[in-house]
Amino acid sequence: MAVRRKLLLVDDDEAIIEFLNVKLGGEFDLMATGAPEKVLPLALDGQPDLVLCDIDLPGMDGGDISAALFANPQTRGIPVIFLTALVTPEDLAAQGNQLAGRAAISKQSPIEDIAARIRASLA
Amino acid sequence: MSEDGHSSRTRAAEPIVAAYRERILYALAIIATVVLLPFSIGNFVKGYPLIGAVSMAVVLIFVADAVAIYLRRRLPVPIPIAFVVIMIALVIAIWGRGLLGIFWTFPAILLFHFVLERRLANLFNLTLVALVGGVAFYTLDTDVALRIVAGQLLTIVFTNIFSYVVEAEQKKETEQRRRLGLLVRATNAGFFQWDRASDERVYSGRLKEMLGYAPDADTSAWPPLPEFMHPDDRERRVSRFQEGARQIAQPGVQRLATGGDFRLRHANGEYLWVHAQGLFIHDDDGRVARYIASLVDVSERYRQQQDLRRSHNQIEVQAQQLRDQNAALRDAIRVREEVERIARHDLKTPLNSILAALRQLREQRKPDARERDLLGMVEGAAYRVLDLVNLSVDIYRMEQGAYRFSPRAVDLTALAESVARDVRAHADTKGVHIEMRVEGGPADTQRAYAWAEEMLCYSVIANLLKNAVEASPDGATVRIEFSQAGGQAVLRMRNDGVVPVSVRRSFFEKYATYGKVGGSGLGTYSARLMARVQQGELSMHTSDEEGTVLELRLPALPEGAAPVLHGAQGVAAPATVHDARPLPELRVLLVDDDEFNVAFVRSGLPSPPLQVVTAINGRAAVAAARADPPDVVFMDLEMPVMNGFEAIGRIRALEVEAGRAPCKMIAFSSYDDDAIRRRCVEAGFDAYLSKPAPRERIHDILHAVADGRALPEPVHPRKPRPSGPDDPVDVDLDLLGALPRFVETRTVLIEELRAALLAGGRDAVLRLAHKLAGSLALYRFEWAADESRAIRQAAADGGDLASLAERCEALRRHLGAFKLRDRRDDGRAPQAAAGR
Repeated sequence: MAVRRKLLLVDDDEAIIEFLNVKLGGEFDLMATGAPEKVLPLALDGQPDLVLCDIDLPGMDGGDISAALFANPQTRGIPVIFLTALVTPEDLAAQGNQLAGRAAISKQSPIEDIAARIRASLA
Repeated sequence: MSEDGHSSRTRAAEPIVAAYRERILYALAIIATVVLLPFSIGNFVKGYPLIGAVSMAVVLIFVADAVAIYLRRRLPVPIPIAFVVIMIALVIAIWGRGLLGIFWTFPAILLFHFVLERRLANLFNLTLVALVGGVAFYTLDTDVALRIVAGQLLTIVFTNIFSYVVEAEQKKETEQRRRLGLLVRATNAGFFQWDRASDERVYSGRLKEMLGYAPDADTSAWPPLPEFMHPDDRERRVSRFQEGARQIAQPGVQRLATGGDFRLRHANGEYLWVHAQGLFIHDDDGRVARYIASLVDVSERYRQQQDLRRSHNQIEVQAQQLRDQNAALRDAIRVREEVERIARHDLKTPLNSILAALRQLREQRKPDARERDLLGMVEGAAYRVLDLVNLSVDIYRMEQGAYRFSPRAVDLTALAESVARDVRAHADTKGVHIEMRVEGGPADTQRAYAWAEEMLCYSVIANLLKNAVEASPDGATVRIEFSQAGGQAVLRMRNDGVVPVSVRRSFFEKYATYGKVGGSGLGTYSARLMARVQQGELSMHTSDEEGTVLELRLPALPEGAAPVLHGAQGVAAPATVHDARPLPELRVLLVDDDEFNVAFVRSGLPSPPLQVVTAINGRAAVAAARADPPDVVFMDLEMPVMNGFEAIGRIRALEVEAGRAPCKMIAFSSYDDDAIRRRCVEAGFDAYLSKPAPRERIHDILHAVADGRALPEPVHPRKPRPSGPDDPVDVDLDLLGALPRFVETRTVLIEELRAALLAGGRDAVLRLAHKLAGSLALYRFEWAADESRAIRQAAADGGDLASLAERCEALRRHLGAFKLRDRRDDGRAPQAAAGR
């Protein structure tokens, strides 16, 4: 049996977390937080296989979170995908589907695309 | 005390008769003497001298044994002889007195049973029964004789049962004692016991050992235990003991004393730490009768605690030093980063001006050959500095983990050849020869490819080769070998120089430099960083025999990846097709606080056909846009008075106010990183140009604007919006359960957004609209998501907030009455109206 991979979801909107739980919970083990300052402790503790992170968060933005994860040797290898409403899928495609050097996907993308992107990053 | 388990071990192996034989014999001897003596004398008196004589003999044997036992001497008459005498006496008594003599057989059976070992006793007793039975049958009635024999046999059986049960119990108790002894020994505890009535103090063997004495040392002359205590502990422990000893409790109660640690003096004069746990045992009047305490040596624990405290103090001191160093380092890093950031920007701005001025010089007058050379030298120097600044930006991104690695097929041989050409003049002055070889053949017939980035590889190879030439002795050869190993492309560069021992460990460290005047210490550091960013590695091996080998490993080409063929120059120029048509008639607003940049860009914007207006900062730009709305704005970002981000917001607001179509805004800056680009996207710029932008690039943008085409570097291609709020919403069936709650929370957010719009809280508007846009998009409320984004964009562009409140009302209506379509059942009519 294939091992279920673990994702850490970061978004301050409960509706987003709920949506991702419904759509991704069948395939992945999920942890979630809306508090950016808890991401590093959670990642250290839970060692997720991937972090799916909103960009515009209160206090710290996604870039700060990504930098904090990168700065810690224990979490450096965890891939981060930004999930953002700031940019359309077309805009992102024009920028190589990345923002600030990290993989990114638009919240306007179909969930199938989001899941496929996660799978590709975990492969 | 028996806690050591030695004394109980002897008893465990023997039956009860053996353990208590002497005491039983002693008691029986006295009793038999007292009881038998009158009968013995009576027999003489009654005329039975023989019976009197043998019974007297038995009495004498008992007396002699009792005296011997009392005096702890050997028995004068051994038991078997006593048995023979008793047997003879019994036979004579029965023979002479009949039934009366029979009665003496029963105490005899008991005597033998308790005095002799069981098997021997049973043998004696059965012999006795046989003899007595024989005499009884001969002298008495058969019925009586039978009953006598049966009674004697039953007595033998009962005594055996009795002693068997007692011995079994005793064995059990012995085993328990043995286990307890082992347990106590395992705790390694010593015991101290004090008896109130006798004031006797008992020290266990282990306690004596703990104090440095032999386990069997005589303690009768020892002072009271408190005398062994450390003076600092004594008063506390004694008062605590006295307080406990004074208490009255229920008779027979055992009460735990307060435990604690104190020091006891060892025989060698040192003190050991013990942990004591005492037990007060109360007697029948409720007063303390005995005190028993277990004492465990805990000196090691105290030693460790002391060591730990010492270490802790040292660590605390070191930690404080580290904190101080860290704080200083953080300050230094912050200052350095700030300086670097400013330097990058501030260096690029004047460099761009120099380059612009040089180009103008070339264009405005035709330079002669010497002037051309001079201009070329200055341009070359300026571009080298610009490359260095750009490299430092890339290194910064790599260090931050933000560098975007975009691999492609790279011809390492072509790059190395190109670098070799660059350094040939330098190599020639030293007579250094550069030799290349690809595994399987010479470099001019074979190629070596890696899956990497061309510019990064070029930088790494250039760094390695320049260093190799510098380090090589005059007339030596630098050898470059290309090969493939383990899915990697490998480049080995060997020179005859040797890296000094003192430098080897820090060879790849940042700012580490050796023997090079003006060396920045960034060369090898950045080379390794670049190798690693490309998922490769750079290592160095050096020895007196082999010289120095730098080994660069990079990912090999993946299957199916086609190598790109290069021309003679090695590095291919980016393939761009310049639009060479005449420039269109457009109004251009050029905003920059650097007059040289303005002059340079301005020189490339001929008017006519263009109408070019310049502005020195954001505020001037807004004024210019108000006076004469432009078609295109080239906007610097960092300017005094008003920066580019604020200016674009004001200009967008002006356009909304006037109902004009938005002009094209191009961000134009020396900053060139993803964060700035992202910020430009958010601010509403249509394109981004990093300085220095070639004139052709600016012309291409102008052509694209005039043609209504997407800009060459688009950041805002919009997809067509859904037709309107009445379109069905494609909510996934999986989400139907979550939908009511989602609609409810979004409605609350819309209300908050509306309130923020009316109150003029722009930050709150941006946050709430962003939140709505993201979540509505995921749940496939596409119209609502687009509308939220549009509200956010309008607010970000500086639009009138209150006028946007109406759009919130439309959003609220939409969420209250949307139609739902099952996404899994596409093509059918909407299934339900799911409004609230």
